[in-house]
Amino acid sequence: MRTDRTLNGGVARDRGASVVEYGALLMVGALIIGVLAMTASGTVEPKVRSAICGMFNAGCQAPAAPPTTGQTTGTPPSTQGGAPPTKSTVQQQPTPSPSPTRQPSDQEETEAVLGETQLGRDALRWVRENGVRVVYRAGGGSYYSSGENTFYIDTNQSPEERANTFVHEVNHAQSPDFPDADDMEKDEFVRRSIDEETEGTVEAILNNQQLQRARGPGQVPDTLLQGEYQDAYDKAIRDENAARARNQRPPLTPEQERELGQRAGTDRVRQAFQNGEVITSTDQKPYSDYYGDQWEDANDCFLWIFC
Amino acid sequence: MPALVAAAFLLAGCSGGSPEADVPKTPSSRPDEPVRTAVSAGLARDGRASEAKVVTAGGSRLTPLPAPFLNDWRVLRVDYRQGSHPVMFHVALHGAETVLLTGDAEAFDKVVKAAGVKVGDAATATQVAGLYLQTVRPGGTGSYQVDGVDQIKFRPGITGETAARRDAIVGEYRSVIKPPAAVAKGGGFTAAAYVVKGRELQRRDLTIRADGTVTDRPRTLVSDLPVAYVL
Repeated sequence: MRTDRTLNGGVARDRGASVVEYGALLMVGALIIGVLAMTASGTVEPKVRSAICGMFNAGCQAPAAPPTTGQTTGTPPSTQGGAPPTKSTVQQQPTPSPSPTRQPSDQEETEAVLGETQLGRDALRWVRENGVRVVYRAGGGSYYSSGENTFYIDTNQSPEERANTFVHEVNHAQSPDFPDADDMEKDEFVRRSIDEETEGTVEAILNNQQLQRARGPGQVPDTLLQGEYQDAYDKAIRDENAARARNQRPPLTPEQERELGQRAGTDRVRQAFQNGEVITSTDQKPYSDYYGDQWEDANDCFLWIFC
Repeated sequence: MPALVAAAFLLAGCSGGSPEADVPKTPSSRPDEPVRTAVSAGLARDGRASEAKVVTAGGSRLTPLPAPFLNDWRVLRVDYRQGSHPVMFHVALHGAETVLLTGDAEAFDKVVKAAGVKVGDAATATQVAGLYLQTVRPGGTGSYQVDGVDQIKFRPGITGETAARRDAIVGEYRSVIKPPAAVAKGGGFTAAAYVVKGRELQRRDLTIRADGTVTDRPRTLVSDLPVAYVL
C-alpha cells in the first residue's frame, strides 16, 4: 500500500494499487454473494444481515429495491426504541418487491394494510414525504420518538393493529414539539397532551372503520376504544333525533349526524384517557397521571440532578 | 475470507447511527452520569442502540432495585417519560458489563449464574422470584404482577353484565391471589405468583434453583378480564 502526497500537501491513502485490490475483492465478493443469494432462503437472509449488522453495531438498510409507492425519505435508521426484547429489524425504506419464495416483511405487511384505506395511504405518504424513520421490532410497544423523528412499531401486533398504530403515531409526528412542557402550566400541558392522544386514537378508529368497510363484516376486529366511540356516536344521534321528534323538528341531516356523532365519539375517547380506562403499559397509570409526571420530569429537575 | 467478504457485502447495506442532532438532549451535570455512560456503552456493545440512547437521554430516570443476593451485580430500572407513551426497561450491570433483562428470561438466568447467586433459604428464593417477575416482563404489553385481587386494574365505570363478571372474578380470586412466598421443594424452591398479562389473569408457577435460575410455567386462569386498556 502506498501513501501519496497530494497537490495541496495532504496525504492521499489507499490509492493506485488499492483500486485493483478492491476490485478483485469485490469480484470475489460478488461470486460469493451470488452463491449465497442462490442458496440462502429469503427468510434466512434478512436474519443474517441483521445479525451481522448487529455485530458491527450499525443501522441496517433493507435490501435495495424499487419503491412500490411513492418515495421514501427516511434516513437509514439505527436500532432504536424502548425496551424491545428482540433486536430491531426492518426499517422505513422503499418497500421491497415480495418474491414468491419468501414471506413478506413486517414493513411490507403493514404497508399493504395501510394501502387498503385512505387514511392509511395518507399516513404512509406523509411519513415518506417528511423523512420519518420507522423501526419495526418485536416487543417494546409502539410509539413515536420526536427526538429521533422515529416511529417504533411493535411487530407483536397484527398487521391491522400495526396499521392503526401507524396512523395514530402520524398524528404525534405531525406536532412533534406540541404540547411543550416547558411552555405551559401543568394542567394545560396535561389537557393538551390528552387532546393529542385522543386525536390520534380517533384517527386510528376511523382508519379501522375504513378497513372494516373495505374487507367486509367480521373480517377485522375493533381497535382500541372503537366500541366506546361508536356507542357514543350512535347515542348522540339517537338522542338528538328523539329530541327533535318530540319538538316536531326535522331529523338531523347526514352531515349533521356525522358532525354530532364524531364530536360525541371523540369526547368519549378523551374521557377514557382521563378516567383510567386507558393506562400506561409501564406502571398502569391513567394517562392524565402519566402526562402530569412527564411535566414534572421536564420542569422539576434542577440541573437534572434528580432526574 | 469468504465470511469476511460476505460480511463486507452485508455491511454495505448498513450505515452509521443517526446524526447527533437526532439524539435527545443529554445533560452533563447528573451525579449518576458515569453509571449512565457505562450502561449505555454496554448496551450499545450488545447491539441495543435504542436502549443505550434512552439511558443517557435528558429526562430519563435510573432507579436501583434491591437485589442483595446478586453480590456485586446491580439491577436498574430505566424510565423515559418524555414521549407520548412511556418507555421502561430493566438492566443488570457489573463493571463494564450490561445485560438487558426486559423480555428475556434467559438473560436473567445468565446474570444470576454470573453473579454466583446462592439460594439457601425461602426468603432469598422469594426475593429472586420477585426480581425475576419484575425485570423480565415484556415491554409495551401491560404485563404486571398482582399481590392481591384489588391490584387488578379493572376498567372504571363498567356496568351491567361486565360489572357482574368483574365482581365474580374478585369474589373467586380474593382468597387465591397472594404475594409469592417460596417454599422448599426438591433441593430448590417453588413459588406461585399472579400476573395480569393483556386481558389474562395468569398463575405463574416458578421454580427457583439453588443457583438462582428460574423456571416459569404460566397458566391462564381468566382469559377475558374487563381490565383497563393498555397503550
